[in-house]
Amino acid sequence: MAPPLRTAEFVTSVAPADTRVVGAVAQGDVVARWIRRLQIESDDELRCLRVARSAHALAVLGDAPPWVDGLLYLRPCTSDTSLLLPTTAQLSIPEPLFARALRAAYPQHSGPLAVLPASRELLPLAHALVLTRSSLQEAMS
Amino acid sequence: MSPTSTRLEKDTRGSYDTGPIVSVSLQEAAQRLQSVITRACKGLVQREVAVQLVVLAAVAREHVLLIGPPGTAKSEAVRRVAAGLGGHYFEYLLGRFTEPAEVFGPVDLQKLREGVVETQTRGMLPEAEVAFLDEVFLGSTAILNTLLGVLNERTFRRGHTQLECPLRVCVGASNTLPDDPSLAAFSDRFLLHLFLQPIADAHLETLLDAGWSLQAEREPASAEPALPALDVLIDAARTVDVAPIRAHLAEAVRILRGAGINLSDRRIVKVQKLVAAAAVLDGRDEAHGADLWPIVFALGSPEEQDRARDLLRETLEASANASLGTAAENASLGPLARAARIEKTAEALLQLDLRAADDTARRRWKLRLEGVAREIDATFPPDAQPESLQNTRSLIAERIAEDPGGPAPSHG
Repeated sequence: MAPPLRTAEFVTSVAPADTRVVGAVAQGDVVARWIRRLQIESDDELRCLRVARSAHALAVLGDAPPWVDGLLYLRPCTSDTSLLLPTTAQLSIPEPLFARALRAAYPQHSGPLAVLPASRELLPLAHALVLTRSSLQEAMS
Repeated sequence: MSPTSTRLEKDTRGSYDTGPIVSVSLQEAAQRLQSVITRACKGLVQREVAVQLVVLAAVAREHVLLIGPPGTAKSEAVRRVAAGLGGHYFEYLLGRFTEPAEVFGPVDLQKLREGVVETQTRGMLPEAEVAFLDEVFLGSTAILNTLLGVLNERTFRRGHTQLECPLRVCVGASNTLPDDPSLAAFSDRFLLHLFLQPIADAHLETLLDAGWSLQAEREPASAEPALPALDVLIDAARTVDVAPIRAHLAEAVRILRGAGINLSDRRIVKVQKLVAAAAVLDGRDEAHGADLWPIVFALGSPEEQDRARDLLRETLEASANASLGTAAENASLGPLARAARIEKTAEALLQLDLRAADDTARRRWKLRLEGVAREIDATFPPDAQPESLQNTRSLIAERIAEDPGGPAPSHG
């Protein structure tokens, strides 16, 4: 785990009113429920979304990801819009500082990246796929 | 009803006598105005704050200035409030060559022959309960000077004519704020300033949908005017106990001054009227911390208002209002106001009767319900959700779970 993720504290708080949702992340057993929910979307609606997966998390990008209980919603970082942070979490240090430190610590992840504070995990989103039934199937496997 | 003859006395039960017919409680009057706001906002995208501020100003016996580019539904918002309130509505687009007679009425020629200069005010601004003056700063000096008397003292004076005006609220509109200092002083007479922007990209579909639906079916005007209820609230606002918020208001003014944002002494005093009006529109006869939010709209520029929202974030955090929730939220960006607005949206959706609805309607309903749940989860961490919002969220989750199916996937 790189220093920025180890040292930066996230404090849960009410999201500012102008917060823009750009995606959501499911972890644990929420993943399976979310996939079931996504499967009942029409093909056209799925195509408006993009999906990325890690060993423990599933991210769906789009401004209105289908809802299930337990999702973590993402917003763009103020200084680095390809760095996504939880809508209901505020950093204990200035966001631009955190963003720069994180980018410096992870030069291999220069593209979009979601920060998951609870598991202190980073979810690369650079290779997010357009959501189709086959990419959903892929995400499930 | 003759508005100028309506005098409301508080009776021993805390109700207000509206005349010989009915006695209306503060809560009933507030609910009546709530329904006026709800009807006025129907199909009007992102103009709830404008509608609510017009009602707030009417209860406070103050006036509103709407600043925004053409085509941003300024006049439509005011027309709808006026239709809900009932009474006489006067609307005029001022220009550089507008004659005072076009606004206040023509000189009575018959009396002029007798050497008396009187104005025939029938159907004109001096007899209006609600007025809307578009491009208000283009009015001539003669018009604006006469208007000052009407706005400040509710008195129309011209020649030998002097009459009390029944005006509850005047809304001025303009594309921009004037640079001319004398006009700036005139704009200061409008206690509330609202800066409107064209509809945001994210709401364009809603705007198109609402505009099309409205074209197809126009809401009929309310059969029962709400003017008597408004008068109950006007009277109640005069006796509201604002003492509990004075220290908070003073502190808010100090914070603003510290940041170089100055409210004139007159405006500071008048903000108390807005606070009192917000309290009665919430059905209370005592003001508290939740009612301070109108101070943001008493500031004269969009930059100052934005700065105030940040500076006063903690002071205004408790902002909420049953009738003016969107305006309270807009001013405060406060969690409680946002929670109240979300709950209201959810309540309306949960109450919809879908027994006769087809699959498409049910699906749209469910997506909207999911949208509300998404907004709750994206905004409030579980431990920061007010109890009522938690209950609302549980209800939404139950209703969504009852109908787990969705659209048949269109493979292909």
